[in-house]
Amino acid sequence: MKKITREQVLVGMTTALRLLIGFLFLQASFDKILAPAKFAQVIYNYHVLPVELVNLCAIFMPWFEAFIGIALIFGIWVETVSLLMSLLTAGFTVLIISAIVRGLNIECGCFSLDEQGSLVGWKRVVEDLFILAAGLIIFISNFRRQKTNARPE
Amino acid sequence: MQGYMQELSKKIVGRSALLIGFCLLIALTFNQLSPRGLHLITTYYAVKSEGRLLKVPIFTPRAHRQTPPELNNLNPVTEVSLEEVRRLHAEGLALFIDTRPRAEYLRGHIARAISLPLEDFEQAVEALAQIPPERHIVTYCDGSECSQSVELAVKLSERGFLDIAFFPGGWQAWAEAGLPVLTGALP
Repeated sequence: MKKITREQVLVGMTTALRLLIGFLFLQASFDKILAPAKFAQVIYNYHVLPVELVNLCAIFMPWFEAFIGIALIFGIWVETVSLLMSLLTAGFTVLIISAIVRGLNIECGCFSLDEQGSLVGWKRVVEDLFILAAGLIIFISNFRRQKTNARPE
Repeated sequence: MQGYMQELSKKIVGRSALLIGFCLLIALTFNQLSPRGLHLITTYYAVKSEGRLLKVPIFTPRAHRQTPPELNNLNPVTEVSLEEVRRLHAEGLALFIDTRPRAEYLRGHIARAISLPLEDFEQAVEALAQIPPERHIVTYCDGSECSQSVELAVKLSERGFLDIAFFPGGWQAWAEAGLPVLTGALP
């Protein structure tokens, strides 16, 4: 009886985490979908993509974030989406660190496009690491549950 | 266990491909229909600087331009050497624009240069209207590794300025040559 309760608590916690990250991703996509030109400038400022591909990235990424957010909120394809989301966040973290190392004083473009003081910095890296951890927790807990369910009785 | 892992990775790869494909479809459709939609391939101006070709992108929404910008439509943006910059400065023939962050400008800049950091460009448009379009303008940033000078030069050229040049050597080359500098804001 006690074991079931503990499991339920864990499930509840990962669900809460899944919803939180889902809303965060969905919210982060709004500004970028509405102002693709501004977002393209932000991507360009990182100086990592070939210039030609910047627009395509600015067109695609916000929708990708939005669908990851929606899927997390509704619990659709959680194993895939949580993994994609973790990979994406890991990539963002590397990008931000590279910008800091290269001494770029640029807008992060992480959650919104207008917010003052949303420049790249170590605070953003820490935030991203928390989101990455949350993504991995969601993935692992989902993986465990699926494995238990898949095991033959 | 191994069978399960294999099945799971297959599931993840398949679903990732589906999700990415679906997102791409929605994103491209939305971009096509939206008045703020962008060109799929970024349009850019190619500017020659120290033998290299710099690509300065244009992020204006597709709807604002009937056709992708032709390089020839732009008033040419040229580079100027240290010797030329020295002469232009000594004879007072050009307006110098420092595109570095404001704090660096205050620490030291080419004498008589005005400060216009690239990120403040949109706010400065009104002030720029005071400058006659035929005025010779030279932009610069820190040194040959930075690109703000070229980016600002292209933005100015887009705004109708006719005689724009950038100085690739920038602040570093100027200061090393021992040419006139000033610190602090303009009087």
